[in-house]
Amino acid sequence: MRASVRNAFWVGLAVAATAAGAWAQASSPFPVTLEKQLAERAANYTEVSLDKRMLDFASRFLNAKDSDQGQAKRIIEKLDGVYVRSYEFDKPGQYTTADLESVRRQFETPEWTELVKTRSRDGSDDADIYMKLVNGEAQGMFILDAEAKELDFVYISGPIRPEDLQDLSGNFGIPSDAYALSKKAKEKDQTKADEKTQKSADKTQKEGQP
Amino acid sequence: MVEMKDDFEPELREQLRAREAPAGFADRVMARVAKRQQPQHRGWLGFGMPVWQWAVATLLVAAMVAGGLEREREQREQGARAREQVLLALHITGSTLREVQQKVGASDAVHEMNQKGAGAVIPEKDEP
Repeated sequence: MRASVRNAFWVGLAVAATAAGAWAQASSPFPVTLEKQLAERAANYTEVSLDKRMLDFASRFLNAKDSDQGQAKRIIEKLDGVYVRSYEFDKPGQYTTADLESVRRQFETPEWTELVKTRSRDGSDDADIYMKLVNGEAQGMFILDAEAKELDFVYISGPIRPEDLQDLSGNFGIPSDAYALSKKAKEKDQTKADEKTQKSADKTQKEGQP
Repeated sequence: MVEMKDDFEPELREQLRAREAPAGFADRVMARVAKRQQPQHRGWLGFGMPVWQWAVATLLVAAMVAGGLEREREQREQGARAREQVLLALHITGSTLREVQQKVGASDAVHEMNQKGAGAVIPEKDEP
């Protein structure tokens, strides 16, 4: 009887550990059901999910002396996660504007600033860049790029300093004006804060009037 | 001068006379000699452990070393995969950023041209 209880405990522990591992691996910043649907419709797809633990592990294997790997190492050392989804379709119309909205919705919270927004009628030429700013510091970035036969989402969690983007210019295909984008995000965030303050002041003034 | 007894010499001769060994004496001696010459289980290198225990210990150490090497190889492989994933993720990030910026650039250019009224009006992207 005691042995069977002990065995049950170990089996339970093993199941819990496996489930925890699976959950940690499966956790995604994007709607999981949509990911599955898009993967089923895609001719080719790439899904990369790297949490803090995986980034730390990978960092040990990046050669600091290599230019690309060295820069990647410096960037990921500070990040909390990198999540990339890239889907290629055989024909257009494999996703809807509602699909794109469900992804965007994850990033439509007050701490995220929409930096780039390009819209098309059927969503097949949409583009978005959102930045998460906490106390004026970039703490995350979300990029969505929709093409007729391609759809890409990127979510980078953690501190992305403008200098990092500048350092990366020219490497990994990151354009040299990514630094300007980051600066623009800060300016936009400041404008938003100023507008909020102004509105609040106006409201107070109106309430004060007889 | 000491006077020797007359019967001393015969008595000595009698004592030193060759006698026949008891029956089977030679066989018993040879058996004992053979027994002493057999190897005793003192253990390899004299550490008091039988050879089979040494063999088991050696196997265990070899298995541990092999396990360690295998684990290291697996870690290297996983590390290489993780590194490739990081580089792939950054590459896709870069190309996605570039594509978005190209769209924004193109959109801005069209908007600017339409505002200036230069030539034929190029339709801007449909806003929802």
